[in-house]
Amino acid sequence: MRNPRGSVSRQGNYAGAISRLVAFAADVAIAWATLLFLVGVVSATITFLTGRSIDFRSLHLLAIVVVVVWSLIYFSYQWALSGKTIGMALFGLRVVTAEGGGIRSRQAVTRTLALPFSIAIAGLGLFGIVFRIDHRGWHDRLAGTCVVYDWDARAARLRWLARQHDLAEAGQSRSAQ
Amino acid sequence: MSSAPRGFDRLAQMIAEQVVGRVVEAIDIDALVQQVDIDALVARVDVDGLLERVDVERVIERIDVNGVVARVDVAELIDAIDVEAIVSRVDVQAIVDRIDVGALVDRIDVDRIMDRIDVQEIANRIDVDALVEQTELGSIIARSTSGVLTEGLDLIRSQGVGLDDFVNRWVNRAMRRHGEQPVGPPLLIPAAGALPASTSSLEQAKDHAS
Repeated sequence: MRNPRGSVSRQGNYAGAISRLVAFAADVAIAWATLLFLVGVVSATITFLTGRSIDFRSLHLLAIVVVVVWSLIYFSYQWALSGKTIGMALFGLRVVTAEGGGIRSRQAVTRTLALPFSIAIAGLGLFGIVFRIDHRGWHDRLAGTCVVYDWDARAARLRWLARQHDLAEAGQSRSAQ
Repeated sequence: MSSAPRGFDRLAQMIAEQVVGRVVEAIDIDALVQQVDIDALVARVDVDGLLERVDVERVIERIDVNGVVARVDVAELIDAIDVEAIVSRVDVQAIVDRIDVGALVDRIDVDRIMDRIDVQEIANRIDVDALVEQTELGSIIARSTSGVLTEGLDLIRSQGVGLDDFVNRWVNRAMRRHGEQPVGPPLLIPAAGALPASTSSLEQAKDHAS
């Protein structure tokens, strides 16, 4: 495992593009998985109650509306609640205001609505995440937010050191035997 | 009338000079001094009366104190003092017993002292790595916080940070960024947190190498 020594000082620093990209991919996967699960539950309930099965694939418009609404709820609710989605929590990221404070619900919704525009125009709105010093894309600048590292890297560092300590002790006891 | 006595005086003067000179030459001064009872002589002197007539203030004023002090070899004086002997005669316990430690502590402004202590600086000086590596604290931390999920999260997060640093380093080079850059929002990272791009890159390089 990579020694997390250098990560200790990164708490509160602007998060980089790779962590954010992977966290976003995880969020998309989780959002889809939960949506499919909910659709399955709804479908099964309707089938159970009416005895008729519904083919959602034929309901394109409804499917698009459901996906958009679910995505809006998934991202904006979680950002408004804690500043992080499940994917961001996994990668130790958090959305904060440009000054570093907690974001408000309005900012969370603005960020969610602006995110598709950042992606849509050939991903131009995401270039800032890679090239700007503060790693802010269009959606961040529109909402007045930024993304920072939020995981307790110091604890991770101590865990890593503790494992090295345990391994060293195990090696010594083996050589003594 | 006056010429006769004047001649007599001159004669007497001549005789006296001759006689006294010869008498003085004939006297054995040492023998004479030995016969003098100096103690008796001194006993007859009224020392108190003599001292009363001395203007002590005037005498003191005439003393060049600085000159006297300048002539004193202080180092030699200190060498001559047996400090150990003096200290050994001091009853330290008695002194300590007389100190009201409670009152002394009450007079200390602890808040003011604490304000002057840079706790962060002290914390920074603690070698946490060595502490964890060399003590049982490491095992305690491992047992209390380790888990498969935690280790997995540490792993993917560390890898993410490493890749971010790698990309940032190349972007900074490509964009020729030099000087201090903000590394985070002002509320989370104080102004001192702004690192020179070169320093940051060096740290990141070390980090990535590890």
